[in-house]
Amino acid sequence: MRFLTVILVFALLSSGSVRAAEPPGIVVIVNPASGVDKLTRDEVIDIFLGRYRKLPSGRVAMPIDVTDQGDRARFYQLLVKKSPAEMSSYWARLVFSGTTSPPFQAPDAQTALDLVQSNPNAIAYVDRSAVTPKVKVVLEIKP
Amino acid sequence: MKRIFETFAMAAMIAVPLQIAQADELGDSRFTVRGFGTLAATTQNTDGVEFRRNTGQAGGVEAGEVELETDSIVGMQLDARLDSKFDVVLQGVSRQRADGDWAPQVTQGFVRWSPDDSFAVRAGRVGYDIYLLAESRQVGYSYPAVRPSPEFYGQITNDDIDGGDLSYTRRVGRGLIRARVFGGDGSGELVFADGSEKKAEGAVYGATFDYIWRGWTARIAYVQFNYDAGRDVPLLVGALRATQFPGALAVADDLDKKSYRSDGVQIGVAYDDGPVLAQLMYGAVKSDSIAGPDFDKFYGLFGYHFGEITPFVAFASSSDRNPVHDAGLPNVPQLAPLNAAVVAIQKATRSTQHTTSLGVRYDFNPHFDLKLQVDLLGVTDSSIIFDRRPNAGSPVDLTVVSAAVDFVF
Repeated sequence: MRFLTVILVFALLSSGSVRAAEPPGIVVIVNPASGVDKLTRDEVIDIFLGRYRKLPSGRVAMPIDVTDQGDRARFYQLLVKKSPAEMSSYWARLVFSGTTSPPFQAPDAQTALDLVQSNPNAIAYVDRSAVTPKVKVVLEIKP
Repeated sequence: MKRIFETFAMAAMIAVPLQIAQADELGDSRFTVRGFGTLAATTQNTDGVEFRRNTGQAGGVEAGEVELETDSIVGMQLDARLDSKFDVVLQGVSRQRADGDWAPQVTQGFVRWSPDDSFAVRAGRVGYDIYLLAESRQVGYSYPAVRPSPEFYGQITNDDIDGGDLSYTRRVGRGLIRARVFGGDGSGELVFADGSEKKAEGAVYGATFDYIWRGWTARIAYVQFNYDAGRDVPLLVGALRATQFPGALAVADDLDKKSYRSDGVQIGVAYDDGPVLAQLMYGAVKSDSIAGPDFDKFYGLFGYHFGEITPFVAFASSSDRNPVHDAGLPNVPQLAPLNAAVVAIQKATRSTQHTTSLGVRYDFNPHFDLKLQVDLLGVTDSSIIFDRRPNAGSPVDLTVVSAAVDFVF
């Protein structure tokens, strides 16, 4: 019983905690033809964590990761407070279950931006400064 | 020892060129090759017993021995995307089997059709959904401990069924609900302390219902196992009936079935958000015969990520509901073998033991981890642990120490 209490207390205390070094914000972008004006944080988490890849407009979402470790690490740290190693462990659970696959891998932010501009199902993350009129910002993830 | 090194060396030779090929094809790759493995050394301190992680392993870790075969494993997976709705997965795993061999087995091989991510159908050899956060217990890299809890999962000898499943996911409120039904033929292997083996084959059906929101996953699951009684049971039933003793007749009636049925339920909740990882699970298994398992089980784990280092503590317990009883025959030499046979049938599925685990995982690379773990076991009556002491059957404690390197690529 004491064991359960300790687990629950730690879980509750930690759920609202934020790590010390807080990185700057990042925006989630989609194609203007996606039929989506905004997404909630929960929807973005579910899309990028492979749980439910459907946009509110009914389109199947195609998430894009940037293989550049800095951008990707910053995004997942802001979104779900997880390090690259924790994300790698998370994906190991899913890919070897054969249930889903990780996001499409773009080599850099410019490629991710180009893919979103050309594909109405694509969804990616970039710095706000990189946003162009050809994509739509649907969520800003602040530190 | 030699076999395990040969297996890992072969996997490495295959993996290196495949990893390069995969890197070249990043983009819209139609084929993806992935692999995983664990190289683990395990030892324990109690003479006369052997520690195993599940009832399908041919042998266990003896006192003072450093054993590489108990927790080591290697597997590869090929994913092929046929089009936007169809894909194929083929997975092979090499690990210690019931006959002590390391011959690879196909653990997954299915076609999946998913028209829009809400709905998915898989047909072929599929993993069934009995683990709270994953379908496979073979991928050490995907969980914090060296091995899945023997108390919670050690009686489950196979992870896959030849059949299929159907899942449906939709958004409800801020979270997701996911329902899955599955069914097919399962085939597992059991090894007993006397070295004998038995195949456990039969139909498996079940359903899971999950609610997922951010770091929280809650699950209710039901699984039904139907397994063949085996060739020796009719002989035993006939001999018990021939005695005409009321107790023996009652046991004969209980055992006289073509197949036995076990029903299992699981309730679990997991929290995996930011630095915190916690799991709580309760399970109950009930059988329609004394030949089947009948026990309650509990598992709890708490881990905390300090950067790349994750210490964790876990507790697991399984407890049989009924005592072992004999055939109720007089204790005379002519009838003693029948009493012993009835006891042996029940002993094959006993599961009263508990483990407290302390460990640490170090993610020294995005694709590798190093784990150190100490398990303090108290065993009262368990078919997972081989007990060969002169006073076999009395409670025994053992301390298991393990070091493991897990990898994925």
